[in-house]
Amino acid sequence: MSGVLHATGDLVGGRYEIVDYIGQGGMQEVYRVHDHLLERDVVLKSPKNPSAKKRFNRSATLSARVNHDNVAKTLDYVEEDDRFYLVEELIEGCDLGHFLKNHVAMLDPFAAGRVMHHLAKGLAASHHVNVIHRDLKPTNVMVVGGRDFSGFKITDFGIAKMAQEEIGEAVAGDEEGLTSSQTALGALPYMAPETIDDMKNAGKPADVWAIGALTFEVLTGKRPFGAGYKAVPLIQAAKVPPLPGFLISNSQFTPFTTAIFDLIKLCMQKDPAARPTADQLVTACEGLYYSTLPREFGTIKRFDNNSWGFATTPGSDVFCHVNSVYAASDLTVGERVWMSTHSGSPQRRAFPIVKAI
Amino acid sequence: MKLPARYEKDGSPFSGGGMSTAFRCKDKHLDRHVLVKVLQKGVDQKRILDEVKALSAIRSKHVVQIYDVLKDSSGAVTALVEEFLPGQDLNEVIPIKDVGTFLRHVYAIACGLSDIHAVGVVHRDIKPNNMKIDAEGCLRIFDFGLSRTDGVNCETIGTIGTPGYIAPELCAPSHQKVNFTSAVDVFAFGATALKLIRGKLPNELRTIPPNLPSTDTDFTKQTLALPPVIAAILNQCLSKKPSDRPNMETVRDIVARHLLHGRHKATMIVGEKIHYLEKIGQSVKLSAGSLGSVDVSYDGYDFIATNVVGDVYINNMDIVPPQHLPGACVITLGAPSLGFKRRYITFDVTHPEVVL
Repeated sequence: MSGVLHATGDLVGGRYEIVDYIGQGGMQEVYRVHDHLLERDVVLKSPKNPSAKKRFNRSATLSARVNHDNVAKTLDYVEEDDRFYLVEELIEGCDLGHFLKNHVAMLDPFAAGRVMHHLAKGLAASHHVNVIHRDLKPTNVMVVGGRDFSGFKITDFGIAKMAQEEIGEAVAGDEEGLTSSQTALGALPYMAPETIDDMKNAGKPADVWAIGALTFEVLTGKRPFGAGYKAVPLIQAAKVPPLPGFLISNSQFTPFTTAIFDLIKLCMQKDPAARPTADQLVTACEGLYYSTLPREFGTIKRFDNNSWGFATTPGSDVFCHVNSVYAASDLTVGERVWMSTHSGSPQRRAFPIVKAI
Repeated sequence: MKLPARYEKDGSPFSGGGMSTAFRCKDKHLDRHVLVKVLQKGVDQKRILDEVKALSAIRSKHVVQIYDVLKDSSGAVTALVEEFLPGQDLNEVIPIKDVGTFLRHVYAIACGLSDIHAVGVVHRDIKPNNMKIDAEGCLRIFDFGLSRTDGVNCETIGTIGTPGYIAPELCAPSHQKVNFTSAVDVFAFGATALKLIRGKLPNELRTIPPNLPSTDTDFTKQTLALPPVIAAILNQCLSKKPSDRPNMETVRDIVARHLLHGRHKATMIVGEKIHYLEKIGQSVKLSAGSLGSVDVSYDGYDFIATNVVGDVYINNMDIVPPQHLPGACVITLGAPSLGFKRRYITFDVTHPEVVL
């Protein structure tokens, strides 16, 4: 796969050499580049549509105002030959959308809580400088370390300012109009009711709603109101569906799952004024109790009596009991799992365990 | 020096440290403030390249970000452009009167220094003047004007640094070559911690070489009563011999552990009932009739199993009391031969996450 705008080896701004084409977001191409001035790799983004210059510049200056560890850092802005570029810190990892699609579709509740906590921190920092994201969704969250799942950074602040009109028109229009806009389709599942009515209503509370909707998705594996045109009336009604029984049937997970779900419901209230502010959400997340141990992947190699077995990992094997599995009541030989491990005999013991892809 | 059109001076100059003059400027491309550090004439280019190299290699939320390097027509570096940090100077918040605030600052500095040392950089001028608390409350380390690469160019002639923060091994006669390691930062970190508590460094540290050990530099004898394990590791940082000082990762992990002191919660599920254990000194007896029993208590850091009677296993391991429990385990009461008559209790430890 290669970009339209640049080939490997091109030099931008006399400083950034194209190393690799990473892919395209809704409205921009993304490259990994080498900064020859500071001798490090960074990310270069450029809009596909060069007539959007004014809005792209505006979105760049918006992101540049936010300075927080849970937000991707804006490093530079370059205009050259009718094209313009945003330079961002390189995050070795993948976006959360990719992680959910390719590694783990439903996180254990502790990991989901950690995602919510970190995103709330990044969002609070941006709201402090009056920057509204407008398009928070899994593909706009970078997972530091990718499979290692070590941290989270919000990216593409203000890019949504560019997309605002397109999203607004598409969502306000008919089904055909919506499905013809990839940008609008991607944004819709996380949009707050007031922004469906008019994208101009996208304020700080709409970002808080989006964090609620995103956390709902990582906790349950499903978007709260589905995707596509059918989601529109459901979002407007703002009735958050209850947790399915199989997510709260295991008492080792239920208290925490319920605590996270309560926070999700607070964020997803129809009345924007009733939602917590990002700061209040941070405070609530600081009161969450979870383990911060790293996660690892394994493959079930043995499963006996419908109750226990072992997973192989790049390290030693791990004992897996079905009671330690979130959102499922069985394990199957050959399937992949994502887990934390603890000392045990004759093998380490896993808790929590979720099914991986 | 004439700045490129992109950067517009906004405010009066101040010292940028390391032989430079700093200006707050407006970066017109991104409509934000940046710090432009213009180097004084005659500054060694090699030294400035060391600073650039150090700043671009480090990835840490506790270290200032470099954006740009300005050069003259001959290619010589004339200025560095860094992020502008509004917010409080660390000197403005000292002396610190409560242990919690002190520990959070010390933890942030230790995290930053671990990140710096992880890429082989020695800062060489660690002190509160070179630290700030940014608008989001995150402590940041800056001024890498004296930095070096560990093991590569770590030798110097004469004593360089700021009195009070200079490690003993750097105090040599002015013509003598001195080799040093990242342990000089560990010493300066210890001095910084002392300054945070006392507001002023004791004279014993300000002499060259520092007069150690001394009562005034002893962390167990300060007005701010520190937890013994914290005082002990900070005292080690001020060891005379570099090899006696801990590395910054160790310090960071010890402080991190203490930040969670008393904040753990163990969730136990016995049958269908959920029980919690979270108070320091609290203990519970887990038992199942004649099968066996075990006491589990919380000391503020760990959950510890004692008083084992009968057959009790943790994650299928024999207990050797007093035994620290893993972060998640199943406690089994009853011998394996009893089969389905054995009793199982899940025991999971959680805590709030400290995100600075």
